[in-house]
Amino acid sequence: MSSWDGKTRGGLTGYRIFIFILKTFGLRPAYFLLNFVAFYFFLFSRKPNRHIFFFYRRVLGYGNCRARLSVYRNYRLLGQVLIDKVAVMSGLGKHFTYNWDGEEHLLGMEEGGLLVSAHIGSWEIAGNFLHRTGKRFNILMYDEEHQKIKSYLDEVMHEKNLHVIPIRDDLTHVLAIRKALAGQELIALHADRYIKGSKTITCRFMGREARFPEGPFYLALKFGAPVSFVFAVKESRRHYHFYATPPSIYRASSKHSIPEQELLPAVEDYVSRLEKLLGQYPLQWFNYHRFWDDEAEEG
Amino acid sequence: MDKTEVVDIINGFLTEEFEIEENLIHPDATWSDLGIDSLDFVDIVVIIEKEFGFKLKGEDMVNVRTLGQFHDLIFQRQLSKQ
Repeated sequence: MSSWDGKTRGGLTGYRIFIFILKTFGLRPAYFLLNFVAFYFFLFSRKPNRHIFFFYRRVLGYGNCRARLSVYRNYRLLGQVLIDKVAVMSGLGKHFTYNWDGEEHLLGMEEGGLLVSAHIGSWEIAGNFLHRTGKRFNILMYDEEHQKIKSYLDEVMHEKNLHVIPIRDDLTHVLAIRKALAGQELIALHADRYIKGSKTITCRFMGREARFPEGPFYLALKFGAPVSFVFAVKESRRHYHFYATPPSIYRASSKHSIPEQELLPAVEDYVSRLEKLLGQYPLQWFNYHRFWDDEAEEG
Repeated sequence: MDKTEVVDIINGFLTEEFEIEENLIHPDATWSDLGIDSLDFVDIVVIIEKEFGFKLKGEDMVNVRTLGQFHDLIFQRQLSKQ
């Protein structure tokens, strides 16, 4: 997996455009317009195309035509997921249906913990409904990304018990995480991207070597926090399926620094869950950068 | 505990636990100079709690840029605890 620069493509303008379309024309026209946007990305987003094509062609072993079609369908689904997210955050959530697979596990996390997710489906959709747990809920995200959408988040999340912990160079986010866990709160974070210079751990993922950030797993072991792997995938036009695994506690034997082999069981559990989900929903893999170590040689 | 003891404890675990060379440890050194990243800082937070018996707060760290400022912070927190 190559490093990520900590910035997500698009930003506030994109959100505002989606809101405008949704509020003015509704969900169906927004989806219709999306076909053209997805096609534009399919034609002109060369670098992301290359990486996501590698996933379908090499990792999943699709034929050339099926892989190319999957790239287009992947972009279209990503767009739909983004539109759905904005719709739900803007109060149009009643247009969607959900089923909850493992919600009881989250309700049972009374001492708080980490909700580890990935760029599959839309965990923001799940996140928007996590207030059902009645717990204070935090999202860990890179500061640059947070600054871009902060005012928007403040606007739409003011009634939700949701807070952002920005990852900053001054390392204060570590203390915020510590405080949140001590206060028995939930913290959601992704474990399938890392920025340059971060510590990583190598693991076999979909049959190939890939690197994952150590951070989420290190935090879990160091602070002894329960970990649930949480995902929400889109199953039909207006239906989402939410998955949460039973919380696990991973123990570190070492007093201070945790060696890589002690992190591995947690990483492998995460990867195993990820693989299972990708097998079911291959079009919802939304990582558009070099992910597998051998990608540069083949891609 | 006086300031020298606080400094010795902090510098001690930086050299022992993080294997930072002693010549790099000086009051003007930043976390980056010392090669401390956020995962190392997770360890430091836990060590501070164990060694000094209080929890660091995010607001404490806002103006801390150097090791010297970190020494000052821990010393002041140690004093206020007493």
